[in-house]
Amino acid sequence: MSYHLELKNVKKNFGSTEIIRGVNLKIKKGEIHSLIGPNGAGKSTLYNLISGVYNVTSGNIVFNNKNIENLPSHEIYRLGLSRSFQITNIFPKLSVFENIRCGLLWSSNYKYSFTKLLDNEEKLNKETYEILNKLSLERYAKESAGLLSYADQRALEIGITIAGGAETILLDEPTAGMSKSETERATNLIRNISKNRTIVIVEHDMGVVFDLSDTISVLVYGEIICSDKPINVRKNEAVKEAYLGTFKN
Amino acid sequence: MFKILKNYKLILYFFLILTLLFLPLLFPSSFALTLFCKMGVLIIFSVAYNMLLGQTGLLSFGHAIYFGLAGYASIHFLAGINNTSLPQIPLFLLPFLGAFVGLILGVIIGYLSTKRLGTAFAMISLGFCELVTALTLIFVVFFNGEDGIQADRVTGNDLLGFTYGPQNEVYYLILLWCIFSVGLMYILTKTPFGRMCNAVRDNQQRAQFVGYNVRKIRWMAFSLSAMFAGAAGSLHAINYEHIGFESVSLVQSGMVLFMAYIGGIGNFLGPILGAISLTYLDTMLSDITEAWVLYYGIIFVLVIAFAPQGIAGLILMHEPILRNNPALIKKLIFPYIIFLLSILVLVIGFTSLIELIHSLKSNYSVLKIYWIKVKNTNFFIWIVSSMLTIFGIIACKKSFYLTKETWNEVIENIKLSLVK
Repeated sequence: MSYHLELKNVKKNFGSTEIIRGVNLKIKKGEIHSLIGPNGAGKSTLYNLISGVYNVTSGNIVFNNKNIENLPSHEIYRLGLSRSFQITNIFPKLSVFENIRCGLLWSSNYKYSFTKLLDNEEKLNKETYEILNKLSLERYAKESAGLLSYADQRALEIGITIAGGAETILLDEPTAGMSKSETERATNLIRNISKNRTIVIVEHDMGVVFDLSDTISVLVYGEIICSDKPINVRKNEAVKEAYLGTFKN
Repeated sequence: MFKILKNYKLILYFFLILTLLFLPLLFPSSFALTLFCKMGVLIIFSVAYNMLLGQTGLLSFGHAIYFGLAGYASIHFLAGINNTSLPQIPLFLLPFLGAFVGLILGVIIGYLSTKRLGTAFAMISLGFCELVTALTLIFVVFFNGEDGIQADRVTGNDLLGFTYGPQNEVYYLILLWCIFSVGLMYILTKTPFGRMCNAVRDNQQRAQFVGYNVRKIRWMAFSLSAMFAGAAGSLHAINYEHIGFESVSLVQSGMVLFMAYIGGIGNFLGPILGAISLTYLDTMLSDITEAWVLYYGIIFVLVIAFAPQGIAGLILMHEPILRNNPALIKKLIFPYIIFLLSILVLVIGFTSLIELIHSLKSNYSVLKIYWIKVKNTNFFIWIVSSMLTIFGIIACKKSFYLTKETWNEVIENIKLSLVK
């Protein structure tokens, strides 16, 4: 069976330090796949390798039967792989509306055009409002994105991430630092957008992880020690020892 | 509602253009006309510069290269028209040549420098600026060293019967180009390219993850900015019928940076305000005092320290108040008047002091300070100036806090009414 996104023996060194030590990871189309592991395990580094922020030291990353390792980020995005970041990554001085609209531009084929006036593009603006509606951010449309509350900024970032219609989304700690009700709202949003999409999540909130995931992979010191259904991961002795043990005290 | 607002804006633009058209009749003196022409050229230049600085977030210390070299190219072409060795194109098309030269240079130098960001980018631009300035003194064949080159703008083959002999005809040429290019640059900010420039400025990583090659955006912005700067340089050459090495130098580059920054880089209108006010100050102050460069620098430092959004930013920060509760503006009037008066006292005291110190160096012992003739040996005037300066500083500080408090109160009020 061929996988949607597959990492084959991916390694990454920073200087002489091995951060990712031969990761093999298989992600099926349409699933919600969580990536968990203790701090410093290399989760964010792995994301940065998949999304082209860093180059791999060795190994292959195959996305939709195409090797994408070492491609620039914008080209990986154009192939249909989008991501959010651990630290909120939005356009703070642009309005909330424009944040989402920027996310739509490339996929709506506007490219680098300097002949079209965006305010006259009715279809594009309608689509933007639809996404804002989905995020329940439409009442802030005209405000600067930098003025939104933290939870709203996170929601906006997910909005930008999905706006372009990418079918594969990498989310990096989407609920970090949120209150319980905010986490609930974010979880619902993720479930909402997961229809017809493949979602990979890095997350520390085990409630969210076991609630959402179809598959969970556990990354410890740069290696995947287990990749299975949630129920089996819970039973796995190696995982308990390496990760959940410390988590449960 | 929206439609009325749109029409209201159109009417405003209409009256603005009408005023500009009749400006030479209102101020027919050649001094005023020369000033307006200079303003027009620098408006184009600073708006073009802000495309890079304010819109795309790239700080360049060498934007005069495109302005100046396009000016040189235009002068050479004009000289070619004069001695009939080149095609007799109408003068009003000459800025297209300047724009083309700017674009080509922008594409080449932009390719080399937009690989880097921030400090590295700024340093590269500085390097290019010094390089080109050095070239003007080395390649004397093309640049004619420190003397620069002259050419006659009266070519006798323009449309509409314009000869460009009288300055007011040049005014209309510059006005036409100013409206044309500033209009184009404004439209550009509304396009996908323009919006993505802002996006790259705000967060280039995110811009990559909505599918854009951020380097290409920076490169395009750089090239287009150089293109408009080139058109401005061409007009500069036509206006003075002369171009010299100072037009490519760091001084010119710094000037346009000042204009954009003091006017306000966060807003499209900012550089226009900056170009108008600084050109005016520049011309007026350099007539009155030799220490004007010092005042110029002080203004720049004060703007950066206390009003980093520039003139446009100071005006626009009242917009939320006017939108939500215009009556609250009244509360601000009193503190503003007090604050402005304290500034006035400080300015009078400080400038008198500077002028007095300055006069010690030259042989004149009698100098004129604000319409009063004094001797710099008069001890009394030194005391008065010092007292005014000290009093001004204290008054400014106090009234600044008063203004700030009232401002915070008003903004709190607005926020509360918004939450309701």
